[in-house]
Amino acid sequence: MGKYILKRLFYILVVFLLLSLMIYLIYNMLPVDKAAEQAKAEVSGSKGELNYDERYEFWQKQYGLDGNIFQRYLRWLGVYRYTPTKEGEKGYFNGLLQGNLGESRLFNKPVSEVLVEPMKNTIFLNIFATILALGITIPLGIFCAVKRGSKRDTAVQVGTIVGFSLPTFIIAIVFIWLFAVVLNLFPVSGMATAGSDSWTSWQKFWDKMYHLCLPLIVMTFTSLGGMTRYVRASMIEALSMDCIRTARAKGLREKVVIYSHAWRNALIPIVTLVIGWFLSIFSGSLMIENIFALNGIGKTYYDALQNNDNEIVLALQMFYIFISLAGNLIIDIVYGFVDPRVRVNK
Amino acid sequence: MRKTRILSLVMAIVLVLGSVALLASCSKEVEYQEIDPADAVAHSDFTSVYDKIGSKVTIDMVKEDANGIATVEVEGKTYTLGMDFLSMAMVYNTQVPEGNSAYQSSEDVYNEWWKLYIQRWNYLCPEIPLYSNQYFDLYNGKIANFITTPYWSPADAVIAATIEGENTQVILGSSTDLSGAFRSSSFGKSSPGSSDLDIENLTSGYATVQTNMDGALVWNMDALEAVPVATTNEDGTLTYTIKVKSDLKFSDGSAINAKNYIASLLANSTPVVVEAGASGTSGLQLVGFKAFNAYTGEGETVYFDGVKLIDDYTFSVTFTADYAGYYYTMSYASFSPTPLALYLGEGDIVVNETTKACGLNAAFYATEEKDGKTSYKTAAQILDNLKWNSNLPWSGPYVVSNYDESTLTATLTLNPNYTKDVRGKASIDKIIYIKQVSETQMDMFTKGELDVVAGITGGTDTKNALKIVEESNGKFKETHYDRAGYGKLGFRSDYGPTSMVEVRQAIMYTINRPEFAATFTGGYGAVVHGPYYTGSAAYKAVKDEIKLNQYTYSSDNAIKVLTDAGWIYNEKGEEFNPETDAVRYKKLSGYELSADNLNFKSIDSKYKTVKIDGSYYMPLAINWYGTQPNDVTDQLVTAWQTNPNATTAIGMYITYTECDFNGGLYGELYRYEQYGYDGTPKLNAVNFATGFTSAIYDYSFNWTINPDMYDQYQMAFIADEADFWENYN
Repeated sequence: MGKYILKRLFYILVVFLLLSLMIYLIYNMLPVDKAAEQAKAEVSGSKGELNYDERYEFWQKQYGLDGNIFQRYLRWLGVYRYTPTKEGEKGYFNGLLQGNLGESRLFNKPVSEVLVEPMKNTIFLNIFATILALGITIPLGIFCAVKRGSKRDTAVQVGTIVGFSLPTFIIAIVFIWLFAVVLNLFPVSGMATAGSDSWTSWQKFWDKMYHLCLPLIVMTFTSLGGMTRYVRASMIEALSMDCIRTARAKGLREKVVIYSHAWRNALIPIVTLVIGWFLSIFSGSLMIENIFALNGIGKTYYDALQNNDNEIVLALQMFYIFISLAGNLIIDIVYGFVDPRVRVNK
Repeated sequence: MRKTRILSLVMAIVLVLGSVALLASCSKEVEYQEIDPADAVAHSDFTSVYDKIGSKVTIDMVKEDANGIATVEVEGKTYTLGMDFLSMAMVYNTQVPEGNSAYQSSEDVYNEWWKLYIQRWNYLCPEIPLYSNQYFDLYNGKIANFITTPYWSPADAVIAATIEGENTQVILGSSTDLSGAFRSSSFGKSSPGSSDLDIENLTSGYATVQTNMDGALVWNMDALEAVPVATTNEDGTLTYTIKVKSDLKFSDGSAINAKNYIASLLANSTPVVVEAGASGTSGLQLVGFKAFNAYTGEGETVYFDGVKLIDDYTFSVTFTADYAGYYYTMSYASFSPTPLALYLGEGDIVVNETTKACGLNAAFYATEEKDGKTSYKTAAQILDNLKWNSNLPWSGPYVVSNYDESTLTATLTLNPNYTKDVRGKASIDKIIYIKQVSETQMDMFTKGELDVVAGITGGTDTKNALKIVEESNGKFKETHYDRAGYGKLGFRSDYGPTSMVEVRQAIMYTINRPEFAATFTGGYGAVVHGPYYTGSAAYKAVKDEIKLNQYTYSSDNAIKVLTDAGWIYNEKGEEFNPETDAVRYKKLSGYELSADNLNFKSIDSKYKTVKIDGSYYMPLAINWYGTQPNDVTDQLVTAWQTNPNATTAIGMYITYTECDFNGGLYGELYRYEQYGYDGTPKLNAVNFATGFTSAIYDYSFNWTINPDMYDQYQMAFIADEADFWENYN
């Protein structure tokens, strides 16, 4: 097992580097140039005093954007020096390997600083959304499988397919209208009540939860469809196995048959989905965060793409690549624990 | 019988021969010749008329004809005043002519130049103004005295606004995220975030110059002891001596003096701030900048000759001769006080005892070895001090009492030590600045989660907003103003058919602009006929005399200007026949034979410049880049690109290429490789917008014909032939 994990980690590193080069090349093809923007802004306000080419060259060196594409990539990675601006200097390393994710063009702050709060908010929201969604869809899926063909099963199928089919932003807007405007149960958007900065920590926590209620309801409603149907299908297949017939024939209680025998067999394909859901707590929902004005990673990612803030986009892409690669490894290992027939070193 | 047969035969032969001859002439192929680059004609001398005679011209020497075209006679020669001349004269030739009672002040002179400038622009049509919309701001009825204008946003208006009662608060919002850069929203950036700028405007004050409600620059007499004295020195430089009041205080009660006003100017003219990420060119216009900016802290102290500390509350700044006659020099005399530590860190200002010039001490330039390079210690200190929670005081009517990075919400409370300024005296206890979402902002507003919704425009949104106000029984109110700016169709006026004024005029004639504006704005907007805002002081001063062609929608007028300008050929070099020919051509001559024009073609290659019998003919084809997503683009497709009155009726062909904003504007219009330009000119027209949100109306250098500055400064890529000195000599 240990050898296998080491091997996989090595593969992760190689794939990560290859993908980082590919993505860096792609983003450098986009027509955005931070140095050109800065130089143009300076020159246009200088009434002929400043020379554009000189200022452009200056800012290129400042931002590490001089040289060819591979030099820039290696500089970004942290294995190639920045061009010294003073005579006698050697130039310095300041890239990914030194913990520098770059500086945001829009915010003029290190990318790591820009991403901290959105990531915290996204994880906070997604943890609750995931727990809520799994807490509803798994029992619901089991219930539908056990009561397959009944009116309740049909009603759940219809309800979940509506949530699954409608676009998230439509559901969000309808729910805002219904619950926030008509019924006045929740605020329209935001994460805190204006003026709550002087409240106690507990008050702020409950205020935050109050503001996140409606987004959570929308997120749960839209995710019910997929997982419920998946659990239902998996349970139906498990319930039709011979061992279940044997268990019933042995006179076991129905609850034991369903949860101790059928559910364990149904869990095998479901576990990969569940782990995937937990890994997705790092990725934000663009629609939800935009409509509810939540300061999350999805919105930050979208804004960065819109405004060509490539440093943020690159940093997030690299992060998600790492999460995906690590996540695949975790899934493979967990699968081995769930299903004794599967062992990774075989 | 035999004679009849012979006659019939002869007639048949004649008919057949005639038909053959006719067919031969119809199917006669035109022989197109190879385009020869050596045939290109270009200016060789880019000396401008303004450079040669600008300093000799005063406003009273200028004459204008019935169409508003300005001319001047100098040393026996008459010069037509082009865009470069007028834009430069507008801000550099504003001295009041002696003995002329028509001009009482430099403002009168400026207004007259402004009028001539607008009239020339109106004639040349470097852009087509499509619509100028109205903006509506809704606000909570509890707020009184809330007035917004193009120059006063809600963040300015709220300072003079009042609310009855105690512990009052207002919730403002913006769709732009706060970033925390409140002490200086533009530090290290090419442009500030609008929401950060709002917070900065609310928390900084006592500036020597401010913008009033109408957009005019005024001295802030709440901070100044007296109106600053402007002295023109013997060497042509200009010195402003500024004395501030002695009882001004920061939010923590500490005193403000002259050093606080010049600390930022000095620090932001050094390489230390460059290391912190800023441009370091704050004092570019002042005497001694180059030497001071080059000083790195090694060797003897270098003082900034143009910045002097006269006493504790008095300082002076001296502008170079280039700026001495500048109409808006006052804008350069705008300084705001900052805590010394903000930009100086542990450093301090030092004063030359003899000259009173200011410099910065060794502590400011102190260095350290960090991560393998030598860094200025102060650079890192500046970045720390610029944070909102750096314990440094604020100078404005409000202070940032809290900023929640998680929810992007800022809370501002009244600064008890602030008096007042041009905006008024702040009285609302708390301002909360939140993130708002455009899609749900009206719901937030009606529920009380937001007190002001600004910038509502367009027919549907405006009608809905006004309905909410009407049905609220006073709970909500509105204020509105005309936009200082307009949506437009811009041109590359040095390439293809759009390099000719008559073509641009023809396009102007064939877009029904009043209808376009009414449709787009839903009736809440108007049309302008030049680059002006009807609420500006200059326009108000000259509106009764200004001569502007309104280019009333008319294909006939378009055809007339085209035919008068020589667009009378077809692709064979023959006379254009509207019945049979689709697109007009023009025989190029003189500077029209530019290299770009010889190689001009429509995007789909259907039409291109051709050479026939040694002459070049250019097609009337316009390559229009429509930015998407954009409702204006969608409307232009109908109103212009596919409108028969604008195309087939006048012999014009318009292609439409969809593009995103950066690619269309920065890539194809400005031709920046960094934004995707591939080196081949393609674009003739693109739709975007322009705004006059600054009180300063100055477009000097923006119409330059100097090729070294052309790409960086030109705003419409039009090298006005009237500006070329060689055309007169």
